[in-house]
Amino acid sequence: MLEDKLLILRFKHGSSDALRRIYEKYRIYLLRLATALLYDAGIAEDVVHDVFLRFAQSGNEIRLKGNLKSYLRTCVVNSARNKARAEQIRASVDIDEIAPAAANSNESQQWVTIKEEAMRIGNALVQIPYEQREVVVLHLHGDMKFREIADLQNVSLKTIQSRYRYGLDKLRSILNSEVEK
Amino acid sequence: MRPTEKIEKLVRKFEIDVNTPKDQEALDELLQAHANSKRARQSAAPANTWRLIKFAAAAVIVVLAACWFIMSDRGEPKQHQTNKLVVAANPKTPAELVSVISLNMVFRDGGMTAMEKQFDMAEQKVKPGLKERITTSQLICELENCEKI
Repeated sequence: MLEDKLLILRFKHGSSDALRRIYEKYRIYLLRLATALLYDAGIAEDVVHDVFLRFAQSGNEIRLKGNLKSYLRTCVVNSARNKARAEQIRASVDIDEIAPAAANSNESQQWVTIKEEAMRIGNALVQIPYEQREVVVLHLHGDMKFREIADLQNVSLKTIQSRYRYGLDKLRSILNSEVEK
Repeated sequence: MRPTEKIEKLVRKFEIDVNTPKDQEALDELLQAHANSKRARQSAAPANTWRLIKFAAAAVIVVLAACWFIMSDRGEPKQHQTNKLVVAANPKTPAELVSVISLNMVFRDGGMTAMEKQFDMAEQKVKPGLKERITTSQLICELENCEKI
């Protein structure tokens, strides 16, 4: 936490080393979060890259209310939500047939690739409604408490808890049906 | 292990790999963007300074105008006070004292217009005994014991 405050201070004074450190510290965390939310490595890369780019260009205009990690995470989550809404990722297509290919298309040119064993989970995640997926991913991958997620999504704690429960139930039924096949 | 915990454990296994050359490429792009925005901000700084100077000058003018307005506004009561002194003569009798006090009060509240009105009212009250109509200045002069009436 103290290191982040120091990094932000140095970054505001124009230190590119501080920016490099921030990038190295949080890029994997943010990329994993965006990829789990969108299940499309290409779009997830764009989201994280755009967030870091805006951050780099903000300079000393940046105003942090909380800590750096939560600031970057909120940027990524909001941006991913917008992307998901705009492009309606996987909403109207048959996911089972094309998902693995779309998730990791053209691997050699990609910044991020989803690991083989994670494909099954990603494939199941993308089939649950986005609101539920966001809660599940933020809680399990974003290390966020339900209260924090409720504040981020501007809904009640009970809503978040029920979204999480429904999300996990759906994931279980999807994964069980895959095993039965 | 409960089914929920199993699912949670499974979801936590979602992992990614990062392509190192691409990662470096992204970082270089980021640093370049940072350097460009820093340069742009530095070149925009003189324009901002001029804008700041202009704003400061405008603010000084506004403050001076406000001060002048306030000072000129405060000047008026002083005039009232000097006028009041004209009526503040040394009264000889209790009746004169009461007259002076009441005239001062009337003058403070409404100026010369109010005093004129007060004189008219007094004139109407004592009309039967008054030989001829006198002016306000004559009346003030009488209260101040002027020699010439």
